[in-house]
Amino acid sequence: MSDSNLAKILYVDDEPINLELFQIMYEDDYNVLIAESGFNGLEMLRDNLDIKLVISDMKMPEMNGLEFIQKLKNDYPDLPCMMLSGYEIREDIAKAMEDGLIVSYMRKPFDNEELSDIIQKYIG
Amino acid sequence: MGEAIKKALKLLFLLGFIFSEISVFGQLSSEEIKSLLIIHFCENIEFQETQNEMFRIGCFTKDERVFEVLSSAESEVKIKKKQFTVERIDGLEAVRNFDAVFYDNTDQDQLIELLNVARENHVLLITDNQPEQLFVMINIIEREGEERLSFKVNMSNLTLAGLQAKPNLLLNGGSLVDIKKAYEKFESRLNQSQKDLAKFTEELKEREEELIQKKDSLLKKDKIIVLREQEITNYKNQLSAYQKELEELNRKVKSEQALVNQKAVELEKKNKELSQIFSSIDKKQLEFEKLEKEIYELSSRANDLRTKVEEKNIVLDQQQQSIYNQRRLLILSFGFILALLLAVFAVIRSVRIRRKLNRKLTEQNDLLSNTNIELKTTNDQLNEQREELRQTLEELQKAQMQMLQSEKMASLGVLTAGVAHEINNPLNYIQGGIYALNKILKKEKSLDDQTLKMLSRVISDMNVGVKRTADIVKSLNTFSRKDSHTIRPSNIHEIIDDSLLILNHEIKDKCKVEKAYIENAPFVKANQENLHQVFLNLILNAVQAIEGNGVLKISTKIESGDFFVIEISDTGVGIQKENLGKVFDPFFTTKDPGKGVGLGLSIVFKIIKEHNGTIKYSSEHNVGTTVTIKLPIND
Repeated sequence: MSDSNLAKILYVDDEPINLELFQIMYEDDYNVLIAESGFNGLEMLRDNLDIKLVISDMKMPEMNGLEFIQKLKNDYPDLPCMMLSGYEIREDIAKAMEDGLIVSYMRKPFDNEELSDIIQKYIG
Repeated sequence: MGEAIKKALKLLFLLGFIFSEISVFGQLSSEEIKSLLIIHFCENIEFQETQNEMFRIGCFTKDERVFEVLSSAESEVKIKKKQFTVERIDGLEAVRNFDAVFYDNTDQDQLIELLNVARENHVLLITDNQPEQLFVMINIIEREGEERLSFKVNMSNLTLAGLQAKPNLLLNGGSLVDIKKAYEKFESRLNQSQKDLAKFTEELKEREEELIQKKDSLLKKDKIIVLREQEITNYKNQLSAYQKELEELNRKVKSEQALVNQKAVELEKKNKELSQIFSSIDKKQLEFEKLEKEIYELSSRANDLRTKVEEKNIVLDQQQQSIYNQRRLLILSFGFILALLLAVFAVIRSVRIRRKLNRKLTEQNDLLSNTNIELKTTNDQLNEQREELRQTLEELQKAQMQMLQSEKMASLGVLTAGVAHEINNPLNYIQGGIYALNKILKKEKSLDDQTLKMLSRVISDMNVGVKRTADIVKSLNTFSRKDSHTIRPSNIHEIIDDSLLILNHEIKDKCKVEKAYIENAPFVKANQENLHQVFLNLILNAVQAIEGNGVLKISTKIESGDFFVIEISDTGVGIQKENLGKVFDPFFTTKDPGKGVGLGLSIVFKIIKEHNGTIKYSSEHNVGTTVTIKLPIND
């Protein structure tokens, strides 16, 4: 986790179990930072300018995933973001993908290897 | 004359106005002296400051002499170190244009107006021999019999005009008007005249009264005179009436005398005539007797003639009778002919009328038949409209039901989306947990191979469970997606499989599912959500048709490269022949009430039509039913 050689990725989800499992799954391959809300995520981004990829849940209280991504794009327009949600892909998300706000979308429960491929693709 | 004034002026100035009154010198006329005085006044009054280059004097006078004297001095004398001009004035309006005005008329009302205008416009008013000192500024006084001129200055009017008198003004015979005295005098005069006026009015009144009294007495006398005159005329009238009567009587007497005379004459005449008549009567009596004789003869002859005539009359009567008979015959025959004619005429007429009536009747008949035809067409139209209305009503009912259905689907969509999300999250825990477990197991070295194998089998079983749950949730999602209007390339096999998955609880204990899908199936442009509904309906119908155990067979193929064909067969009870044509009718159902409203297949039919496809049922009672769907492949 503190291995500074690994690429930093930020995962935002309001469910602590998801956060915990995500960390266990990927901590060997990436430096996984987690945040329980969009606000928390924005703070993390301020403190860690070397984050390479942001993965966010969609449905979260106060600020949903799309809003969070829209906000962070103001300060970090080139930072790739992807969405991981229990919902089927919706029109607003499809539009966000068309606009380039979101590079990828995956539905929960997600396939471990598929996600690994996507992360690898954007971390470079 | 100019020379004289110049001399006089020089003299005046040389003398320095040391004398107090001006004597009319032997060599200067009173007009010349008045002119000198005017110039003297103008020189010794402080005027309001003006921008005028000239000093202007206006002469409001009837007397031309002063004007002439002044105008002759225009070029030789200066007033207030300015050139001065003299002009005639004939109206009060022009006064304001002057510095000083000379006025010698006697009209006191005009003077008062002039004074007011002069005061308002700061103009010096010089008057000549005005009796009333109240209405002047500077008034030159020339007393008859005295050989000198003097003048009076009314300081209050000067001050009111905004003019000031220099100390030297009163030289050369001037004195101030004692305003108080002037007022008192004026007042006393006024009082005197008022008193006089009162006295006069009183006298007038007395005179008037006297006059009235005299008039009254005069009127009375007049009346008496009138009365007397009336009496006299009455008497006169009576007199003349009497005279007339007298004359009348005289005339009557005379005429009656004449009449008497006349009648006497007539009487004599008649006497004579009577005697003549008597003589002639005698003669006539003789003649009469002769005549009587003749008459007798004639009458006897007449009797003879009468008997003859009577005989002839009888013959005539007979002839008349026969003529009468013949005439009656004639009349009768004529009447008969007339009657005949009338009858013929009536017959012709009746024939004509009948013809006319017939024509009218046929016309009306035509009209009636036309109306009848129109009525029939209207009736047909009405029937058509009724049919249309019935169809519209049916369509409306269909549309309503479809709306209800889609509404239901929409709310179901919202519900399933929420449910799916809520299931997906805990599923994610399990999935994530399995990955984590796998990872941990890989790292763990202390377990033996058998335990590891068992654990990995358990984990893979768990994976299957997660996957199946996830698939169901996914199919639910696709089935009830909200954006159900999008047409996109779709995998028909996936849609059928989703439907089978959702209906698994209905299928699994009733029938075996046999799938015969073509390989490398092409994508079909379709509305996935609607096609889900189609297959869900068709599969459910097939399964429900099976009583006990049976087989559900789903096969797909490509027909002539243009159509994707799906066949769904069941080994169910089949459809009665008479019902085969009705299966797509809305509200047609053979199910028990509450189990289905009969809209399913009607909706299916509509969706397939929207995809430009066809759907066909073939069935054999107690053998089974096959439904064949053809969808165009348009890539």
